[in-house]
Amino acid sequence: MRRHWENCVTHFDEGVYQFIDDYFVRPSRHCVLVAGAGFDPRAKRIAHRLSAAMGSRVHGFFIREERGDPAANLQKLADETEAQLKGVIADARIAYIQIFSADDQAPIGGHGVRAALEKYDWPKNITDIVLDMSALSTGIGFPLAKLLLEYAEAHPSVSLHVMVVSNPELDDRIIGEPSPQVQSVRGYSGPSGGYEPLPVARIWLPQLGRGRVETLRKIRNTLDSVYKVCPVVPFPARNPRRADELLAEYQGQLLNEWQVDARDLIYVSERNPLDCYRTISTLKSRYDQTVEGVFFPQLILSPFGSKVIAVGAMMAAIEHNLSVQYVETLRYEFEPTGTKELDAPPDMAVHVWLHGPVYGSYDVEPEDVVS
Amino acid sequence: MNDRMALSLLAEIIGWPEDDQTVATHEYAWLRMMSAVKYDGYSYFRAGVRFLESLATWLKQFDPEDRATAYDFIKRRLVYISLPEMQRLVETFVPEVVTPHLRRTVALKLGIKPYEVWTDKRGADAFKKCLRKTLFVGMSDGSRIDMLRRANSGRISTEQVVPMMNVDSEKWLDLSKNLREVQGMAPSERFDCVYLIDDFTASGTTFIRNVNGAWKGKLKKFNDLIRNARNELKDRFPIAEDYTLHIHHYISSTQARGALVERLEYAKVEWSEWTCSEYTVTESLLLPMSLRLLRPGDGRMLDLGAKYYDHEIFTRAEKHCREAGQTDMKLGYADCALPIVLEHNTPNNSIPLLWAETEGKGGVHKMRSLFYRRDRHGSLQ
Repeated sequence: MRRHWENCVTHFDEGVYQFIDDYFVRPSRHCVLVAGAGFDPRAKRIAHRLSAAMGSRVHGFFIREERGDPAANLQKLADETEAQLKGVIADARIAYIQIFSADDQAPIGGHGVRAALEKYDWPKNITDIVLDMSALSTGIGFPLAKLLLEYAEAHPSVSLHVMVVSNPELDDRIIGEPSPQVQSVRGYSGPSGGYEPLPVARIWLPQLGRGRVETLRKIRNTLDSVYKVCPVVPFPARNPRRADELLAEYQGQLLNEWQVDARDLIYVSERNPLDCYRTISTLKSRYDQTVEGVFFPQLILSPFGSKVIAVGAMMAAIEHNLSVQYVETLRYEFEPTGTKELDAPPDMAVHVWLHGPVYGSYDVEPEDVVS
Repeated sequence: MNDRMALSLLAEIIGWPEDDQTVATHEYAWLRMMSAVKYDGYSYFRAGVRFLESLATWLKQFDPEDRATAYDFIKRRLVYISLPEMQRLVETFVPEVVTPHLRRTVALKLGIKPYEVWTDKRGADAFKKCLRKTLFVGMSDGSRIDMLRRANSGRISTEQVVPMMNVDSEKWLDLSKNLREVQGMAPSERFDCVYLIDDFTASGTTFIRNVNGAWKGKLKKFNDLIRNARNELKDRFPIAEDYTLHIHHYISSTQARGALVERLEYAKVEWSEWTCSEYTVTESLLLPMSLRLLRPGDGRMLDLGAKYYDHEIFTRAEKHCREAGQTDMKLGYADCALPIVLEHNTPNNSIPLLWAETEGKGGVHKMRSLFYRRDRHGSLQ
């Protein structure tokens, strides 16, 4: 039980960069940065800052997600990102991960990233791992997080940090073409076996994201024995109408197809992933109690939209062994334009210190103070 | 509800084209969903006349050619904070605002970094002690102290929460006694940190303002309360001399945040008996500047605000409005021009078309509200 996850050390926005400058600048810190090296304009931010603070004490393990038929402009942007990352971090390894099998177009990215990480020759004396999920897809970022957490928990002196540079308005402009196949994210298939004596009763938590109606419909159609659908929407959010706008986009599904009770909407902070983590954890605990002895409870997550919220969902999925159902993206479309970027709201940043010696006394009961 | 009748009612009022049922059906589906998710929960709606019926009444006050503009405003600009959303804002307060502050406080005392507080037992113990020495004070009904308590059950004690500001000597002594009896606390222990909690601020005026050289507002009242109780109770007063004051609103406009900080700086210099050592201003949801209705984007709705305005809403609260430098109320109190409604009431900083009710004396337009507003004196307006 990772009790400290309820109250992880977090930093936000400028606080993230101040933390990097304060903590990683120490000569005793030696870090591996694991991040995406794709077209996303947020891919380089953390790398630049870590490099400035650490120089040669930061090593890079970067993922190029290879999809069959990428848009030419995005391929070019990704090449530029890769070159820049190699430029700022001297020891930069690039892992080229095929997202789909050449044979049958089955999604295999999770398998590929595991194999690549197993081959990675970890530098000596590593004290910190930073997983920058800003430019990683769910199918890659989620398995990586789980693998890196296993690594860090097996090495008690190693800290694991998750960082995300997010921009919900920019996310809205990145269009993904979904693959035909619904599947579990590798490592997130939920409990296997052991519950056959009881029928399963599922609660599905689709995280509503703009432009993902058909994708989520596809996932819902593969699920049976659904007890309830509890859509996850962002609130508080820097656009206080964002949740309303998503509800309007999904109104047909919410009302007519998924039979969502208005009281079952789940509001989670767009800024702080721990809010989503805590909310899903509470739901899991209560639902388990509710159906105990009658049904086997299963929570299924489908994170789309805000990456910050998705990180919270990922933490809940790891902690409670929840299933994450998703649809891989065949190709992306994104047209960065200087003018729009200037008008766009600024990027947000978040740091969650997932694991490490900083939580050494979190669970220790105080001897001389009681609340 | 008879959906077909409700749909016909709204289609007739708004003027959705009779030959295109798709538009009416689509819009009605949206209305039905938003009513269920949010608007029907408004505290002044009653059985039989909830959002859809209130919307019909509200729209009918406008000339037919203006109704589409009013409907479009509701659909695209209104920010309605529902009860579950407010609950979320309350629930994030302690983990996202209080905890980081206490980590910084403990770190400063121990000479460590805030993120090192839980590294060893010394920091963990100091954190728990610091949390118990934090006092939470509700400033109004909107402070949602009941929700705050439930959300932090096991984390904060009921003996460190004061639901309303009217604290008497007996209560202060009770707080002091309970704090000092906590295991591990010294006999002279006091609260180091005080959070004043309120639900909403759009202009910052209710909290602190200077009118013709005289300071007014909730903070002034609280400061006087502390000063008087401290003078009376001396060593038995439970709040430390150098306590830190934290002003937290669950929702704040960017405009209010700026005004609060500016006025606090001014007051700090002017107040001879300022009772705290330092202060912070925080919020769970900061409304963006872009929320305010502005021309040209909101021009048509602002025009409606002028066209269907009854000056009675100004004269009714003239003293209050003039203190805010206003000569009319077309844009709401302090000219905030906000499109916001809270599930338990509508702020008077929102555009009056949303909340104003008048009798239309002298042949002027009778304003009809969509979301009734209860003012501070208990009357609906």
